[in-house]
Parts: sequence; structure tokens; C-alpha cells
Amino acid sequence: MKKIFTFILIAMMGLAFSNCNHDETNGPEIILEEPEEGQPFTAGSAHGVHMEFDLKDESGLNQYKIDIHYGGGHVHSQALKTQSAAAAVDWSYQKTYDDAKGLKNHHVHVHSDSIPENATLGEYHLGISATDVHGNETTRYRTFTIVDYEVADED
Amino acid sequence: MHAGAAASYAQEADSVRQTVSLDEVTVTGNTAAAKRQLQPLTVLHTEKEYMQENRSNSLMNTLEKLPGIHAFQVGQGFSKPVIRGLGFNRLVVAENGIKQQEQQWGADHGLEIDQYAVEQVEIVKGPASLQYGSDAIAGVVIVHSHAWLPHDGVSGSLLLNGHSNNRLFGGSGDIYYQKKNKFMQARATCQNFESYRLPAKTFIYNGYEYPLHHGILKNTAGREMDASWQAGWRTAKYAATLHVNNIHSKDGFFAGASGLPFLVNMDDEGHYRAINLPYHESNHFKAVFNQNIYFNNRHKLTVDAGYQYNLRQEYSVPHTHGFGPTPEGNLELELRLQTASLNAVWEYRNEANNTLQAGVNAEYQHNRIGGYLFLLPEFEQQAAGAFMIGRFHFSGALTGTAGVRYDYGSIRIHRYDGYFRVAGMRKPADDMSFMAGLAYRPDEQWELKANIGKSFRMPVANEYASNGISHVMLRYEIGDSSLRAETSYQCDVHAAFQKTWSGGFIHRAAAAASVFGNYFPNFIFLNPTGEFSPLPEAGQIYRYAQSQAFRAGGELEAQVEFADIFRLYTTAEYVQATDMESGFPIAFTPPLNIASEMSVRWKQLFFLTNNRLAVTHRYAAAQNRVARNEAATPDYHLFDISLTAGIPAGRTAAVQLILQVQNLFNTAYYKHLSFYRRLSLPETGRNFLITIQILFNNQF
Repeated sequence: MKKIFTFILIAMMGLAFSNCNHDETNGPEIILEEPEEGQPFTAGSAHGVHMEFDLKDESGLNQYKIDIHYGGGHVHSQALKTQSAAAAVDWSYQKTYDDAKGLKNHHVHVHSDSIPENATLGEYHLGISATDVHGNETTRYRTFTIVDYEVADED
Repeated sequence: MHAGAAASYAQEADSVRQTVSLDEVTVTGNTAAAKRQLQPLTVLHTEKEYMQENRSNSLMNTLEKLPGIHAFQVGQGFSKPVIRGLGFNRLVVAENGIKQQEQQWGADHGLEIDQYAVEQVEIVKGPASLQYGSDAIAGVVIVHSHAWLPHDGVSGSLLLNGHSNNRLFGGSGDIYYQKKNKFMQARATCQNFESYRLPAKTFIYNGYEYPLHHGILKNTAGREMDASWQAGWRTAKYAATLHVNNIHSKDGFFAGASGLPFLVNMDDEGHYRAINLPYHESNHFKAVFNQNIYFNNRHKLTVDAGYQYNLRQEYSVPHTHGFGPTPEGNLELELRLQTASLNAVWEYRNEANNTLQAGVNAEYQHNRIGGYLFLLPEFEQQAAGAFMIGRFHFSGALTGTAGVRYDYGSIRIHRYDGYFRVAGMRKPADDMSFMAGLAYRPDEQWELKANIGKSFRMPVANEYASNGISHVMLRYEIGDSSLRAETSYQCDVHAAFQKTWSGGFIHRAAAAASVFGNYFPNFIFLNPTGEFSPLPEAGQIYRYAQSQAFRAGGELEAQVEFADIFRLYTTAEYVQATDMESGFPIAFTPPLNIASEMSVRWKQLFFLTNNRLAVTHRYAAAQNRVARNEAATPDYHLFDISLTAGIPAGRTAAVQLILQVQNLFNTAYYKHLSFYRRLSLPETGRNFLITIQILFNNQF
């Protein structure tokens, strides 16, 4: 009987708490400044892809991750495939960063590894994901291109 | 044969093939109650006719219209049962008395049971399932295949099936022979379908728009081939049945489901029936031997022995998850699970029809793995339990049930040293379970029931020791070896009313309401850690954790029958589940659902007999109570039509024609409990279904 009573009591508490204890449900805000949509980068560039973004979270940031992969061509355009398919590799870059831990605001300026000379040309997807201390997760995506001719001042 | 319904099972199964029963889905425990005993559990019974008229892509889709029952959707061919918002390892499916063991933790494959071989389904909602094991927290889905007929003879059936949406064609046929004290039955089922069509031309995922050529979700074709055989032998004191079946299926996965969708995955290849990588193949073999020994009118011993072998293989291009050295071959994941089960139940029945059951269950599981991807370790698991259940008729109007159960189990998990590591471990767990219930039927109109119970379940191998990427959620999941057994306290109250009028326009009206509450001191769930996984595309790591959880909800049903012809039937159901420590809702909780069916029956229409037309409307409210990082799902309305007609074919045969239109208005909707929800892919579009069933029965 005592157990039943405890059960009902806890049950009622559960209902009471369920509506007022939402501490923080939103994931971090990601304000992605660069690269711009469709921005070209050169295959073989030693600077890699230059990225600039701001992260904001009220409860505190935890980690962020950069994921670049070949977009397989995109709905809105045709890939610029001029190189021989055999020589080309679909370039990708993944890295997780810990330098924002506990911060509410963080400005990030990073470069990926250098882009290989034989990277498949065309559209690439950049995904920036960030988590807060609660595990709320947000991802922002952007498309850029890798081209085989010099682009002036890509930085 | 399982203990609880064993006595009435034979007679119920008998009536199925002989007469076409007019019972549809019954308002719980009330209609057809005359032949069923008053009992405290809330049990949904479906007869074969319900199965035929509502036949959908898979067994659980067919049963989904029942109040409190949901199907977790896995593409088109498969689904898993969910009772009152709980599924996977928290409910038990028992076929012919043996608990189905098929890696039920995984949401990317369905229940491996041939739906055409199912004659009857009983769904027990709530905590009162001590016969089947303490882990049937949400309830039990009890599936019966065929058994004894009242007359000797040869009978059989042939069913042919076609669906427009995925160009499915399928068939199932059986032959049954019974003479004196022996029977035998054999059945074969096969179906083959194309990729399915969505009511959309494109879909948006992660901000990118992807095309769906001809509205087809590429590589979701599949095929299934099942065979079953059963034989029985009986005398006045002994009855034995052997069931052997094998379920085999091969299904493609939409490539976007195991990696980010790449445009190349979307190309229209024109072969919608081909199954390309990634796909999965599964085979479930099961042999069950049921024995009943009748010592006299008072004592009965039931012994069920079963062996199951579940083989699951997933094939994929290794680069999908692009890390580490490139492995050879395409076998990504292989799980080989063998299960041996033994149940023995002794039942005593006194003059007043009070019963006492005492029983034991034992189960041994053996899991081996293969493939280049690690998800679940190898393990061996033993579980044993003993229970005692009494049922007492205090008077004609009041019945009580009470039972206790003790379980002991232990799992030995093997160490794994690859790119991922899992430490070996041995984990024992034991606990008591109990249940008690009362049922009160003061007159023919009212019925009241109340139940309370405690159940528990041992954590399963993946909760203790997974370490890898889950195909289902595309997320990295890590087990926790320090998890404790999960305990659940549950109570429910049920009230039903029915009234019949002879002669009036309204023949019968019935209504029922159930309310339940469920508290877990240590509910096991996946919690996001905020730490990214080492794998690309996998997002952050989710770790198994425990928290206090509370769930509450209920079901309402109402039904009115007019002049023996029209019938209106409405159900509503709701469940709310909350993690009490974080205040967040629990993932995969179904939203408020309201389903209404209007049906018309004619005994005779021109030369057609037993005709029925039904229009169903289903409304699912938006689910905005979601766990961290779980997407909210908007509301939707769905309309279905079903038409059944019987064509006379002489005294010994019957032909039945069933036409259905599902999703009549080709509505694009998302189902909260769906494998593809994560990718923002709508569910199947409009679907025309045709079924022709030919039955024959020659009595000796």
C-alpha cells in the first residue's frame, strides 16, 4: 500500500514538473559568415577552405565539428568535371574542436587542411555542427565549389 | 500453447474457418464477452475477418487501427508493435506460446512473422503478463496460427494480393488435413514489391533539396518468402502440436538513410523492383512444440519448447561511413541470434472454475556477429523465471486475479577489439514482479476493471555494450555497463458500458474508457552527450542512461450499431511520457490519435454475400512534445476505404474479394514513429489494394 501511495505521489509530481522544467531546449546558434554560398576554392590550395563563423548559446557551448564532403553535384547546377575521373579523389575534411567549451559566445576563424591537387572538381557541402552542454545540437550547411583555375584572393 | 487462453483457444480457432464470424474489433472485453470469461486484463481480440478486411503491408500495420496500438514504421514492408507508446524490448510478441526473439531493439527491421499465417491476435495491454516474462512491461501481442477444426476433412485457401503504390504482388496458400486424432497443415507465402511512391516530387534534408523521380523513394523494393508447416496429434489425455516456420526477406534501404543523401543516390535508374546496396536480408527460423497433458478435469500441464534462429545481414558499400581502412566485401553487419526456450505451466481448476497456475520459463540466447562494422557484441544470455497466478470468482459478478513472479538472468558479453572496443562483462540481474486485478460486471451493461503491477527487465546487450553507429538514427551510440535493471510500476482502470435494444433503430451502443499510469524509477534511454563522434556524418555521441520516467494516458472507444446494417466506431488514444529528471518528453511517443470508422453491411447484394463497405478517417495530432534533438511532427488526416464482398461458390467453397484504398487523398504526411521521419520523407502515398481469397473445405 505504501508503495502504491509513493507511486501515485511521484506520478503527480512527474506531471507537475513536466511542464515547468524545460531548462534549455534550443541548440547553439551558428552565424556562418564565410565561405559564402557557392564560393570557389582552387584545387591544390595550401590555405584550404577558409571559414569564419560565430557560435552562441545561453547555457554554454560544448563542441563544434566541421565536416566537408563532396556534394556529388547539386540539384541546381552541373559539376565542372573536366579532369579524368580516375585521377580524381572526392576530398573530405572532418575535425572536432574543443576550444569553445563552456563559452556563451565564440568567434571561429579556421582553415581546413590544404585541398589536394587531384580533388574532384565541383560542389562540396560544408556542415558546421555545434552542441551545448545539454547535448542540444544544431547544424548549418553551405555549398562551395572547388575549381581548377586560380581564383583571385580566395582568403 | 500458452497457458492463459489454452482452454478456450481450441474452440475459438475452430470457429474461424467454419463460420465467418460477424464480430469485428470488439469494444474491449464486452462484445463477444458471453463466450469469454470475465477477466481483469484489458485484452483486444481480433478475429480472422478483421485481419482480412484491414490487411495492410505488414502485420502491425493491419493492427494499427486498434486503440492503444501503433506500428513503428520501417519503410513499407515492415513494422514493429508499439503498445501505449512503448515498444522494442518493452513488450513481448509470443507466437504459439513462445516469445519471439529477433533483435527487437533495432528499429530498422520489422516483426518477422508471416501475417497471412496469423489466424488470431490477442493484445494484452498493461502490466499483467506474468506468463510471458517480467519484461512484457507494455503488454503482449499473442499470435495464434492454425489448430484443430471440429470436423475431419481437407481444407485450404489461396490468397492473391496486389498493391498499386509499390506494385506489390503476393500470395499465400495453405492446405489442411485432419483425420481422427491427427492434423497437418502447410503454408507458403511470397510477396515482391517495387520501391514505393511518395506524394512528393522533392524533399528537403539539411537545407538541400533532393529530387524524387516519379515520386519514388529509390531502393525501397523488397521481397519476402515464408513457409510454415504444422502437425498435431491428440488423445483424450494428451495433445501435441509441432509448428515449424521460416520467414525470409530482403529489403532495400533508401541510400540516404545510411549516410547523407548524395545526389547520385537519387538518379532515376528505371528499375524500381531491383534491390541495390544498401539492403538487408533476414531469415527467421522457428520450431515450436506445444504439449498439453490432461490428468483429469482438474489438472493440466502445458509444456512449450521452442528453438529460433535469427540471421540478419546488412550489406552496404564500405565508404558510406568513410573511415579507417577500406574493408573487403559488402557485408556490413551480421547478427546470428539463436534462442532456445522452454515453458512449463501446471493449471488447476476447481468446481467453482477458480484456477491456479504455476509455471516456469527458461531461455538461452547465443549471439554471434560478423561484418566490417561493429554495433553489438557477441553474447550469451540465460534467463529463468517462476510464476504463480490465481484467478478467483468471488461471485458471478466479481473476479480477481493475482500473481507473482521471480526472474533471474545473466548475460555474458564478449570483449571486442577492433577499431571500436568493448570490454567483456558478465551481468546478472534478478527481481520480483507482481500483478493484481479485479473485474466487476454487475449487470449485462457495465464492466469495470482495475489492475496494478510491477514488472522489470534486464538491460539488453546493446544497452550494456553497443559502440558504433546505429543505422536507424544515424547516430553514434555507446552502451553503459553500469546500467541497473529497469523497473516499472503500472496501474490501469477500465470501464465499459453497452446496451442492446431489440427492434429499435439503434441495435447496440457501447463505450469504453481506459486510463493508465506508469512510473519507472530507472527508465533506460539514449542521452545526447554533446561530444561529437569520431565518425563523419554521425553527429554527436548518444550514451545509454537511466532516469525516472512517468507515463500516463488512456483510450476511449465508442460504437453504435444501427438496424443491423450501419456501424459507427470511434477510438481516441493519448499518451504522455516524461523524463522526470530533465523534464523532457521521451522520444518516439505517439501523438493523440483519433480514428473513426463508418461501415455498412449487407448480407445479400445481387449474388454477392456478406458485403461490407467501410470508410475510415484517422487523425493524428501534431507531436510537439519531443525529446532533445527529436523533430516535432505536424498533424495529419488520412482516409481509407475498404470494400468486402463474398462470391458464392458452392457448399464447400467460398470466394472473397477485398478492395481497399489507403491514403485516399494522397496526403503527404509524416509519421512520428517512422524510420524515415528523420529524413523528412513523407509516408506512402495513395495505395489501391486488391485481395482475392479462395477457401475450400471438404468434410469427410
